[in-house]
Amino acid sequence: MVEAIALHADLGAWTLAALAERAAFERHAVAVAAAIADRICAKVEIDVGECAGAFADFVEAVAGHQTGEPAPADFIAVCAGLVASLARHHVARYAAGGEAPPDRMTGAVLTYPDEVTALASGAALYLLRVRALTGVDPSVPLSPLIVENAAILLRHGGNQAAIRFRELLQLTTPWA
Amino acid sequence: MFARDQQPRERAEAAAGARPVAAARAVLAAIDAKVFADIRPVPFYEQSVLIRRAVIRLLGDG
Repeated sequence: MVEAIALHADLGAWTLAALAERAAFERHAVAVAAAIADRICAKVEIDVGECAGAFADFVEAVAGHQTGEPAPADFIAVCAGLVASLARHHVARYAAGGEAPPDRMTGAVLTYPDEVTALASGAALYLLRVRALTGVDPSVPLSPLIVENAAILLRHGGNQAAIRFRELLQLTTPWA
Repeated sequence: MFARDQQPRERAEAAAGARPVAAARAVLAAIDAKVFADIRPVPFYEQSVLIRRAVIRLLGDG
């Protein structure tokens, strides 16, 4: 599945609008899930059906987003919409290898896979665009405790927590 | 006959699914054009690499 997506549309520039295409949306989710799996030395499987559900939710949320003159707040809302849509679906399944007890970050991912995948997806979109705009990385490496706390709040807070993804992940904001 | 009768319904369902996609694409393109007009375009293949680096760093690099 990863290979199939990797073969898709490598030509051309990535744009925000690409996320309205299912293949590019899946590719974003796969890249994030693969990175999380790399980070915790785990295997990951992507559920294409669940990813399609998340895509439908994301498209619906963005399509319903009424805006006049586009502003940074609209971009932040899009990132939050990405977080919320992925958190409602079981897109990625992680399986840790080995017999050693998992460290705390691994434990957070294995306990809250949907939430960590969702938060990392929204954060990745946000910080890559902000870094390209400002030249400054708006993120800091997070402790497992922060990630676990953010995941718990997202699981129980839904959309209200998703819109707070920057606060939960300690991302800075370049806009006043 | 049955298949021919189904076609309009399938076309209608496809059109209904395409409408929110088109609307979402328009919203996203407008944000890109207004908020991120001056940034360097990134090829698709590079975007995936950047995402992976960013997420691994965000989660503390191990």
